[in-house]
Amino acid sequence: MAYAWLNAEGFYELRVADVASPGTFRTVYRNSEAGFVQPCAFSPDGEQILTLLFRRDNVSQIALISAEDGTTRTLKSLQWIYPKRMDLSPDGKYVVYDNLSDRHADERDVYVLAIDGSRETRLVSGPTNDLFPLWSPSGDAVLYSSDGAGEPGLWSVPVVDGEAAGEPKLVRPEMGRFLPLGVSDAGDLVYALRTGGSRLAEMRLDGTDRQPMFADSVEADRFAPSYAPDGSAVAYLARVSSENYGEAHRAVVVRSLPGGKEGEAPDRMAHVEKLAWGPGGKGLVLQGSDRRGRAGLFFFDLESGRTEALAIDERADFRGTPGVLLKDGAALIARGKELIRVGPEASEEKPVASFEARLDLLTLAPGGERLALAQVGATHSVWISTSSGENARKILDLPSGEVTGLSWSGNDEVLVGTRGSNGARLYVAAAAGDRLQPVPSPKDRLPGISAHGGKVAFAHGGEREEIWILEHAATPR
Amino acid sequence: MRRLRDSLLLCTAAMTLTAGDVPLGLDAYMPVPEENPLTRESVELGRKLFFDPKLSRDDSVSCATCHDPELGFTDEHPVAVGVDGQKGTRRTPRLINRGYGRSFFWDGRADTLEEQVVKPIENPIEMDLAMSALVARLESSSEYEALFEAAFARKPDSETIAWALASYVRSIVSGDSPYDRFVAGEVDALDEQQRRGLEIFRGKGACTVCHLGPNLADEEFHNTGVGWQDGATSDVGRQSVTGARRDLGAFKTPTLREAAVSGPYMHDGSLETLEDVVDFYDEGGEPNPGLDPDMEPLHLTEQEKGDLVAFLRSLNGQVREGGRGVRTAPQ
Repeated sequence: MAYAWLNAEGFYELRVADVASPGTFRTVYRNSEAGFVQPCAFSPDGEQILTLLFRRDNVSQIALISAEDGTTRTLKSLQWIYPKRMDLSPDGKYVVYDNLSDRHADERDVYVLAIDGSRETRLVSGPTNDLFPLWSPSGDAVLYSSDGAGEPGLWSVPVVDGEAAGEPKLVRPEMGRFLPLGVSDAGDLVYALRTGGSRLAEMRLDGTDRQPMFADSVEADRFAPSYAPDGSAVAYLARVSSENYGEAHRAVVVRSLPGGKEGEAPDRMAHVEKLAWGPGGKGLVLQGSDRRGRAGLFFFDLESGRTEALAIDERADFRGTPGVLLKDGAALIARGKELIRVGPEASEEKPVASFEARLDLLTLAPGGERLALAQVGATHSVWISTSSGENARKILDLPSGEVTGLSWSGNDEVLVGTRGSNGARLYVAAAAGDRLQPVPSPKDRLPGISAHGGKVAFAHGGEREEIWILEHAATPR
Repeated sequence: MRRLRDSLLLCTAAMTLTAGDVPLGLDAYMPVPEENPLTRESVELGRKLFFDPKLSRDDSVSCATCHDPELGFTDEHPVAVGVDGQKGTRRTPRLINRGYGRSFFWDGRADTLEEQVVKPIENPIEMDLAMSALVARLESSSEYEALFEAAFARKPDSETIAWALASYVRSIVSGDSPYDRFVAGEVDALDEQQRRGLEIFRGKGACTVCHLGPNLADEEFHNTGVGWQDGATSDVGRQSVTGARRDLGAFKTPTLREAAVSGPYMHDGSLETLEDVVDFYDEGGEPNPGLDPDMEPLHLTEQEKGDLVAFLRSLNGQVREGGRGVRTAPQ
């Protein structure tokens, strides 16, 4: 069995374990320059592992890696867009994978690539989203997900010599949010099915008057809410586009209060991990990575609709760099244990403070003069400092569990979200460090909190994942 | 309606660039049109045509005159120089790894290599030879007649000439550079200064916004302000192809492979050295109405600039053409 292992240096290596000898493994590929590896299939002779590599320069690659010595042969590079699924044909001659179509940024097509690099064929295309391809055990067809009949369903296209040999057929309609995992020799499809999602709600800071944030809110993933500084709107993230084995694609949404319509920000970002309003409510500070493969901290200007980089961090992964935008236009970012001031020109960098553990969850007080941040080491703690990172003092120590959210609930109070063995918790902590008040709240996951005007917005709920089997989905071996 | 496949993307067997021939750092898969499979015969024929001055009106200029193998398949002139010493308006592009390209010429006006390779032949300020005249010249040569027969089982014509030249250009590859070995996991392949330069390249310098992937180029078009003076430019670049306002003054990102042997730089050859290029980007390019929003001053220190140039020199690798090795000029 081949698998990816997150090593102590913080990148993934490719390991091979002998399933007959539990506990024994070999590392066959270990390269910090390609710090994300995803093994997808063994070649029929067991000598090669079809692997997705994601490099530090934000290039994804379809590669064959020797299971013996890690020798790597790159078949194709795809820049930062990576296949959501790829598979090796039973005869070992072809790779099937999905990739963005050249028609629409949210649609994918299915391709077949000869492993000798000699040929590529677009197997399935059209104004549909076609993805997650898998070979049938007999090698005579490719199964994949498509919205060709409306809702995502399972489709099959016959294949001969790496090319389509007939029209695609709908195998099963309306499969829901499914992720094909594999096809057994008997032709049964094993797949994951996702249901549910997090919803936005708000309540008073004392935990009373809890209700959905929007009366028309649909059952869909909405999370990381952030009140505008004047309370006139809320920004949040929404899961969009097709399913993914990794992080779902997220849209930035701004909605006026009370109860305005959703408005998506122009999609310039590849991934948004967190968001917060910038000074004066003129735009949003986005932590994540853009479509040019740059990770760090960005600013989305609500008036111009433009997104610009505040701080690019070459060492950050696609989740970007925690940080805040100061009133003078500079950004304060957390890089490991360091607080770094960047700007106002993006290339002006100056370390301003150093802490004992990695920093996360930076948030500025309403006046912009003080900063709350979390240290996330062996134990988590919450600290208050000036906006220049000076005079830091601890206001909350968590012997167990983790800090999941921070938001100033006034000039002298910080709302703290935590998660531990007893579920999620909310607290109001005095900035002076002398008072900690629990806030009654749902015990399930709280992905994002925001406080304003005596209220707290939060996301709660979450996804369920189940494993299903669809029998006789493909021709048996 | 759903289409089963896109015939335009169908590709076919590679005989010259087999898996074992692909230099480290490049993809095994190179797109090749179905109608022009890459064969040893077509590459050899293309190579002969490439170096033959018969392809110009007065037998004075071959493709290789401007695309000198020892200079990264470009030359030392700021702009192309054709028959009678006529000067063009743009720098001769490097032909390194163009088989992986998606569009051709600085403004991307050719969609395929087959379309691109014959344009200079007929261009009056480059080789200035009508295609019909070239066909006649080649038909009169028994040697060429035999080579065309072997490659395509046809006589020379405009299509087979394009096929042969495109096949040869596809055989021009560069990889296995110190950078490629470093990325493959050989940590000592770059020295300390080059590693610092790589950090600048990916981080503070933001070079990877455009220069990324195996070929260190995004194959997109950007306005960096090169050629602009007092808010005006003499070359509209990509806009001449699309007509779009946003494309005014935008040019295709070139590969950085073999850059150290192939100055002067930029589409107009206006920057003589790599140091000049780094200085240009350090200043955020030349302000103009369509300047790419990612262009901004970098505020690099002198050491950082030196590190970046040192890294750029690590992109010189093993150049091959027609299955042969090429000796490039000293760095």
